[in-house]
Amino acid sequence: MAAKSHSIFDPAIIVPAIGESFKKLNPITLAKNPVMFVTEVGAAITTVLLVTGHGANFGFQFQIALWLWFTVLFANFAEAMAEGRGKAQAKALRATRTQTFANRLAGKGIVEKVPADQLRKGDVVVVSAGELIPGDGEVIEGAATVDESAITGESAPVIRESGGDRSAVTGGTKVLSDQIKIQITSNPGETFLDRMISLVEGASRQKTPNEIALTILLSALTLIFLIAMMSLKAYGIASTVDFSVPVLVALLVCLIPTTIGGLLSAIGIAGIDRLVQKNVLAMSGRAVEAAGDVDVLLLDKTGTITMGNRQATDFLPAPGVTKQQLADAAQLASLADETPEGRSVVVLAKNFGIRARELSEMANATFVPFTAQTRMSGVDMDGVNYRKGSSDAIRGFVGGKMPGPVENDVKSISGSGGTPLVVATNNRVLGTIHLKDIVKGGLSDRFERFRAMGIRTVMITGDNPLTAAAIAKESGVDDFLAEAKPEHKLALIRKEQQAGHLVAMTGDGTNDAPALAQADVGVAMNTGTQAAKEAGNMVDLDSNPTKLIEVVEIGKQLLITRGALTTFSIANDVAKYFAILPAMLVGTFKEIAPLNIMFLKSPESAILSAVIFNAVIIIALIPLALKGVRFRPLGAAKILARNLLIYGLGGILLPFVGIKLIDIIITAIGLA
Amino acid sequence: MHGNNGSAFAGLTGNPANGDPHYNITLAFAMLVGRFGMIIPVMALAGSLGRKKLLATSAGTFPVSGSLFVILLIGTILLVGALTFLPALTLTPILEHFLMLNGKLF
Repeated sequence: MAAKSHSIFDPAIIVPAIGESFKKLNPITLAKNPVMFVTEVGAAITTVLLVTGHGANFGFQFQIALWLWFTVLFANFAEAMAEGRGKAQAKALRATRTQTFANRLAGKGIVEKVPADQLRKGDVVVVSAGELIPGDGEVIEGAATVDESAITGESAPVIRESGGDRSAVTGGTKVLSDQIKIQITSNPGETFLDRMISLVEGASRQKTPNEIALTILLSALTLIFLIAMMSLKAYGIASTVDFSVPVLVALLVCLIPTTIGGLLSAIGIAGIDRLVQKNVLAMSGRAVEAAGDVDVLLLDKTGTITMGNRQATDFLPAPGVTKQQLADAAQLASLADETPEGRSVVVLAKNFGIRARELSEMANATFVPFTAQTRMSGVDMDGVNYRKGSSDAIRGFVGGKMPGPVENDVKSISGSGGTPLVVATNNRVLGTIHLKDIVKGGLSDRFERFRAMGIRTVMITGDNPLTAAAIAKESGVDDFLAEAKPEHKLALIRKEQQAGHLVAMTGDGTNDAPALAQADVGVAMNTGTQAAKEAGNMVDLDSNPTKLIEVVEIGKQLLITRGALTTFSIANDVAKYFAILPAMLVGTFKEIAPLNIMFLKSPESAILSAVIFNAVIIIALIPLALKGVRFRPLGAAKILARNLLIYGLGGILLPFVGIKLIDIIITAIGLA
Repeated sequence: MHGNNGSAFAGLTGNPANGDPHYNITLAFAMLVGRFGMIIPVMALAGSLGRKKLLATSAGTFPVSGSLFVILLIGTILLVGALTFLPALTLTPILEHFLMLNGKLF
């Protein structure tokens, strides 16, 4: 279920954000953001000069100081908005998770019903048949059968009992019979949702590598402009032009990249937010950035590219046998088969008019279960042994030789990517059942999108190479690895990383944990084991293996947004120069007036307009920062060219219009 | 008055008649830092880049050849250079140009 995305203008988020922006004025926390820290210092200096000044030009200086403070506040507001939305998103998500209740033993035999997330380590709960186990724990009394399919995917129930090594139970599994007492061994609140919330919460948030690099760049620019300002003051003294400190501070603040400096943290938080909207919990901001650069994607076959279970799609009888006879025998051999494959055979047999027989009707039948040694299963009834199994096993059962056409059928089924199951009675081979792996729909389009972004998809399966090749062709992956064991997955990831690729991987089992940890982006399914979730750096709540597409897109979008706004911020400076520099000089040298190409009314209004534009542009760009620049699955060069045009050229041209507009407004109101 | 080919700097010299050493010292300092001092950060950059992992190229790689990169590089150099030096330039050469157009000079 996708969490609702909050509208930007939600007052429930805006109002607390305003309060937060004042709290964030604290210089100690603001020092993490060098650009805004310099702005705050500038605002403070201007305010001090205003108060201790001799009233000269009070109105002008007052407005400069005011708008400088607004600049800092607007930047804080952007960050507070992003944090507020993140928290609201997480809260909504928490509310949708189904609430389990537990029967806690409160001593003296009293049983109290509490919500599962109020349980603490050491609590003892009693769980009866039909109830969900509320949290990870150990069985301290009793024995029961537990359905752990929610965690392991195994539908066969397991026995959990106190003492011995079958006493550990996991939260979310269901007790099928009897009753057990469980002692809880882990606290809620160390769940993945909480960890993700700490990622967006201001106090404990750490800068990601890309953010650090960008902050270094912005700090360097700030330093350069600071030195340029100081030398300008010196030049002024030499040319007998008086540059007052507020005007110099105004110029400095307009030049340093305050737009991107103020919006940088909001962009990062919004990126994690957007992931939550897609129901993916990121455990680190670094993983989100890595996702943007991923170029190899590893996907499991079963459950990811194909439906989890193979389905019987056809009966191919041996010569001299009718489809009816084959279907009949196949169905008999599959009645006791609990697996979905077996059930699909029974269902298919119905198409041939064979009524589903109940196990209880066949009192004189002995069922032969599947074992790893025989690799066959079936039923012995009225002296006839019905068997179905792999072609090798049945070949051995009937005495070493199968009819030619049957061998051909087996080969052609394997070649087309299916699994052949041969059916035999006593010594006679009746025919083959074609079990097909159904490829999930819409996948080849998804993989095409990956290719357009430059990402190579690799399918990993334990199947034989023939079957794997057929499935790979049908689904449209670029490459595949057949007969893969867990250590092969890990080796493949290492090999790709040595070659300089960034690898993303989805997984759910504990045997995926090493590979998930090694991959640069490891997405664990929510239905996967705890080990897998711990090893990976993202958790997909929908357990959808192709969710990685959205993750990669959001990662790229995050980096593109940062780049676009940085370009915009620096390009803005051109127009601000044309506004402020002539204004600073025209008092002493009116000949420089032609440089005032925007025809701004007066030096004071020019400088004020530039400062106001600088502050207002931060607020205006908050929606863009939170939503992210629109991402198209194109190659990097095309996206770059496009964004350079929009944000580079646009960044140069827009402020000319904006500053002129503000100038008209403030001279009309008479503020300058 | 011998011919002036523009290289006489209008009399500005590092060794002025009154023995004031400040131009010599400031010029020397600027040359030291600007030409030789810059070696240190550039070497540090090279060392840091040399230690980084090599990534394979793909359709998602930033192109460092071709007209797009050239335009981007030149544009960035011009933009950042202009932003850094324009304040000082406006106060002197640019201003003097406008003064000259109006018949005055510094």
